[in-house]
Amino acid sequence: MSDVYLQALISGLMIGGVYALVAVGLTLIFGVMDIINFAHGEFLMFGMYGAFFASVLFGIDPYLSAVLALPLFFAIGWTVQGVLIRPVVGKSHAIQILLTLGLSLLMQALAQFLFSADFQSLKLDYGSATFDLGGARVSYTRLAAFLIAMGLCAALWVFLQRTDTGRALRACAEEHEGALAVGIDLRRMYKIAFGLGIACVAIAGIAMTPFFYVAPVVGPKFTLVAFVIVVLGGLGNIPGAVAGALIVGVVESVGALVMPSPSLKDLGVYLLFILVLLFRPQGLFGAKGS
Amino acid sequence: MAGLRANWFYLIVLAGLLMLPLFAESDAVAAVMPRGLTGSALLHVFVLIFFFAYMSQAWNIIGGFAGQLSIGHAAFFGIGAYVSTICYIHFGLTPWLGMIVAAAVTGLIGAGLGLVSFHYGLKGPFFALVTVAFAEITRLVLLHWEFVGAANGILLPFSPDPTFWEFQFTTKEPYYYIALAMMLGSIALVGWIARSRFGYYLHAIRQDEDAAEAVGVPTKRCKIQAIALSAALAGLGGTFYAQYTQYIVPDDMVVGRVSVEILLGAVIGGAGTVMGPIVGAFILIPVGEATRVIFEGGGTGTSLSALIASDMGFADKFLAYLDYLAAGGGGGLAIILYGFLLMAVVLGMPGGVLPWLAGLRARAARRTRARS
Repeated sequence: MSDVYLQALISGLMIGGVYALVAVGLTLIFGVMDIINFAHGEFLMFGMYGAFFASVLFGIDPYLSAVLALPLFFAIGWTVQGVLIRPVVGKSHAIQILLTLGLSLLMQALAQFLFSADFQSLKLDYGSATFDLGGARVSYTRLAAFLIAMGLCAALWVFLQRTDTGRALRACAEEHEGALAVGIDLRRMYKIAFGLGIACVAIAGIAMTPFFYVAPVVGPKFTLVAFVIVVLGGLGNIPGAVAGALIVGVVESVGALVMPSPSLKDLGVYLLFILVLLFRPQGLFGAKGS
Repeated sequence: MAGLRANWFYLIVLAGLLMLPLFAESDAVAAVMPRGLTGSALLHVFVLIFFFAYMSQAWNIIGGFAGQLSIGHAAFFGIGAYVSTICYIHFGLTPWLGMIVAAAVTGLIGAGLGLVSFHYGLKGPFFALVTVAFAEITRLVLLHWEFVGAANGILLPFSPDPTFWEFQFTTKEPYYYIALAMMLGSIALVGWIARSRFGYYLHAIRQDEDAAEAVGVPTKRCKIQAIALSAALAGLGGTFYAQYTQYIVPDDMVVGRVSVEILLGAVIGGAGTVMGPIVGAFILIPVGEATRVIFEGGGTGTSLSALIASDMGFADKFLAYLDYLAAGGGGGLAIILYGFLLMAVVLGMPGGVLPWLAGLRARAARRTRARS
């Protein structure tokens, strides 16, 4: 394998790991509540801004912010679920999509109002350090983002498998009425699911701030990529989402090589998405209920 | 009775709109409108209202009547603008005919998208996601296609003394009447659809697609026809926009925000109703423009990045930041309001304003009947 392709493969896996955390949040929310969250990327954007300002104003390292963000964004997700999303749980998908689209529009414009439309990026001492891996350059910050994201995905998986709350969440995902019948507090589970989903996506954003720009318009791309991954991996399927994310990451970075212009790299991802939706809507690895 | 009263109301509004340009400069208008919103500035706001009402009405056919949520109509809008502009620049075709070519092209693309999506049975959120991906693909292609100006877009050739065939005017009045005619035409068309067999089919699909299919409604064909028609009208709108602004660029036109703005009018006014998109546009645009005039007039001139980098103390920085916000911050207040309105309508009156009003009226009528 030539060096450029090895480089693309490694970069693709690195960014794919971060995508996995974004998508796992989305698929958890979908699996448990059957809600399609079009404002998902906007929470990522706010996570990035949080880390950016914490760093430039108070000198807080983004990796410390990532730790602080877990309870903070869990609480934000919990509240958003309780106030905004709860009334549309169980309503038609159109209503849910329109509500979260409205939220996404509002959050984007709010970010523009508060932080201006300028693109910002964090300059850190260690931001551009790299090491050599069999001929490919790997940046430490990207590797860190990958490891944080993969670690959190694994932690979430263990949480869902091994704890009572996790089992209750999975029960809700399987069968709402059954979960109610055995005495699971659905409303509380919804808040936990949304809180966890939002915390995941926000931390994914924060883990990227050392090497990724932040702007009010950064969200929709991640929302769409997360949808691609979630559909690819099967709706509600967390290991499927991780696998799908790594595939999308690699498709994107190899796409940047083979497409006439590197910024066309997303084209391959979207085409893959449409093909999967058309020919294998249950995802590559099977979905909830299939 | 109520219907008759509504018709009189619409007729009076229409008469007012037809005559407005004659009085746009008058003192009476100046007395009513805020902050010197007269003359061409006033007409501009109305052009925006008509145009958004028209675009939203186009969306309403597939998104409202057929109930298939499209979040990618900015693509049809953008393609329409590019097709007529390229016909004009490269083949000298007048935009009046270019408009028809644009509608034909976007209609075909819409039919193709519908054919593929509905053939494979994509429904609800999955259809919505395909439209989003389609719009993104369109934006990426336009952004990298040198022939259509890539990221720089196309600046339409300016003619100092334009003829009618160039679809360029030195005053706002012609644009005003063209946009008004487009809006009225779209109302007439959708009004006719609503009372046709096709309209009833769409209504049945929206209510319960499986039931509609079971009683013999050709659901797939109807949905494809609906998206083709919707896309063709949106493409036509793209030509108007190109001629009005004289400048088209992918990152302003084919973006998610525009797709959402297109559906906003219909959803807020009442998706699947004939007058919903019009009412929605007449609410949204004035609210948005007023917000822009009131809050985004000045600006302190300091940029946020300069503020962060400055060596002021934290308290001073914070005060300077409050000044920055008070002067309108980085903008976007109108869109904040749009997002808020969309959520409020979805939560408070899920059918939109018009169906909500109709419900109120029906309840009042029942109460009067019960009393008598």
